[in-house]
Amino acid sequence: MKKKVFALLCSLTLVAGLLIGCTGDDTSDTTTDVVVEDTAAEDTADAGETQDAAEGPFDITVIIKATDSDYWQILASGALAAAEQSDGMIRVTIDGPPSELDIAQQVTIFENAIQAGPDGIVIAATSGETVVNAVEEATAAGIPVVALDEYIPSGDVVTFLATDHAAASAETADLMVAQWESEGIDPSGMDVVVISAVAGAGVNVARTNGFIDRIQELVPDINVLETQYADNDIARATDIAGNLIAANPNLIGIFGDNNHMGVGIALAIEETGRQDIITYAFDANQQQVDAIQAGNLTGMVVQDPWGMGFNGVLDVVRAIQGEGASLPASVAVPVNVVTAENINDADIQELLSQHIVH
Amino acid sequence: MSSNKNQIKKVKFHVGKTEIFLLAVLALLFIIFAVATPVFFRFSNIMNLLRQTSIYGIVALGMVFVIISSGIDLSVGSVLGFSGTVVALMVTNNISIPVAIILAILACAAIGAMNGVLIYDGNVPPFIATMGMMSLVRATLMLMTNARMISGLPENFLAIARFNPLGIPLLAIVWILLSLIALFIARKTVFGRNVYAYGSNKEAARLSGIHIRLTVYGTYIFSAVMCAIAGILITSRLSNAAPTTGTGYELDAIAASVVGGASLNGGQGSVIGAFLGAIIMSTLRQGGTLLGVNSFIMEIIIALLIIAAVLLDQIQRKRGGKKS
Repeated sequence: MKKKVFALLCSLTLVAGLLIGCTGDDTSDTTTDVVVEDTAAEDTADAGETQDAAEGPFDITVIIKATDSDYWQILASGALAAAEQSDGMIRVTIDGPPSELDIAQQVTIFENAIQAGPDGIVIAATSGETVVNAVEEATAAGIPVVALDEYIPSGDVVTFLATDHAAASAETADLMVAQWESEGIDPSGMDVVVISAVAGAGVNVARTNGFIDRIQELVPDINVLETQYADNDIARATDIAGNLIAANPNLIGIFGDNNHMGVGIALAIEETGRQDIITYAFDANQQQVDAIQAGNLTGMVVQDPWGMGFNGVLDVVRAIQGEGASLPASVAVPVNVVTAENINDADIQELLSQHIVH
Repeated sequence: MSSNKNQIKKVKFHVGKTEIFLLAVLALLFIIFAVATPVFFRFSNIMNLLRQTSIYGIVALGMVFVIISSGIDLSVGSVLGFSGTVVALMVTNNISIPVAIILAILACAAIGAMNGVLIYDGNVPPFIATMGMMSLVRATLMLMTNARMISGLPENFLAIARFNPLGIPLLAIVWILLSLIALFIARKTVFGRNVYAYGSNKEAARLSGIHIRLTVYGTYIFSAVMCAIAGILITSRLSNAAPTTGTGYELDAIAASVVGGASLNGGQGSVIGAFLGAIIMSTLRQGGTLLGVNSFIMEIIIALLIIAAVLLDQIQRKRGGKKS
């Protein structure tokens, strides 16, 4: 018996080793150090202007929420682009936990980054409160911190760049009402509903309330049905949307608060053939692009994580150069609402190509 | 030995009563929802209900065997996701659909066999073995896909879930067929009887010469194969394979089995019970949405239903125990 167990353990270890070996250099490594090489370009004439306040090159550590998601990878590539365009003046290192659930690990990464002593830190905190101490520690050590995406309740943060989720969702409510108007639909007394991925998560609550508040403001006697929660599961979102459509003949609008909800809603529209219902969702993916082109989804809100990463790095460099005080406390990063009308525009196509990695 | 036979008979009778009780509950729910909303009893809505239940109804079929054998399979959600991703990777790489389906089922059967090896040969408690497998398979899936969705599946593959012969979704037909097969296995085959015997009394089963290794392997392989089929169907229905698909489905499948009268102590439960348990749970969920009931209240009702089902089961057992 013991021998068997031993053999079993050995084989399991082997399998595990194989798995890790196969994929080790893909995405499993949590520290993707990409350092832009110094080149002779630095010595050329155009470097003259920027060398007054602080001497480059600047080492910037960018800490993302999770390495397993496209959204954070896009943000990282924006940050790296800021380095590439700096002629070697900025060097960016990307770090972050593998999953957004690893809140404690992100704090550890942050603390280790401070020990490594970069010139500046840009962080998209998974939970703002948990990193307050680390932000203050970094600032005390002379390392300025720029916050992205998630608000950090500390006066030490140089500047905060994020999507205004409530305002962006309210924009879809504006578009929805305008579209009903143009189609001659009177929304008074009709039904709208939100399908939300999770209950109680800050960003989702902001999106859901942003939509509901605006639609009630524009159409005071519209009937907002009970918000439904779908466990961030596409299948469940499809079922819920299908049931809502079946149960409510007066349903004229659905808002999904992330891209999984959007895919689910679009599938339900396809299954029920109710393309007359106006549907919007937050965030982009390929399925939603297809759905917009097929008429099963009216539109989606596309954020700009690339710009957030790019500008976050430039802002922290300004802070290093002593211009931190001139930066605003917070900056709303603009979003784009993509619909069938603008989906083929060149700038939208470029934006989407950042989001949808094939 | 004769007392043992008696016990098995009693178990069967008890299961029959549970099934009648479940049918009554289901009929009551149908009446309530039909009265409350005219939409509910429409043919299209009943078909919608069947389609919505079919995925985790299929998972529950495997789970009920595992629970009857006094085990538990927490890896079902991950195996379902694994199957969907594997089949999606193959069909997007021009492997023919039938071949891809067979390979995905075989790959999942191998995972089920690994569960069996850990539990029977390794003596690892089923909870731990399948919990480990749940994380292992899910993490492997994330590595394989870089945590990205696989889309762009061929039309012929998507047609599987869109096929509605006579207006009945193919998903529901597959679920009902698999339920009939599972029912046959449970009632008419040596393997089925062995699962019950092993679950109700391991020592007695060992002494009476039942092939325990095959029973344990078979149970977990069957569960994994059900998940494989469910994973293929859900991928076809959703037109893509998300690596997170199936997260949390193990709890739905356990709930359906338990509501259907299966006991986590083993030896008790039925395929019909799991079938009805699954449909009762999704009827409640759907009815809640149709009536516009607050979704948290609906979750509370479902939670109470699960607890009540187990509580009733325990009370019945106590009474039965006193009599004999």
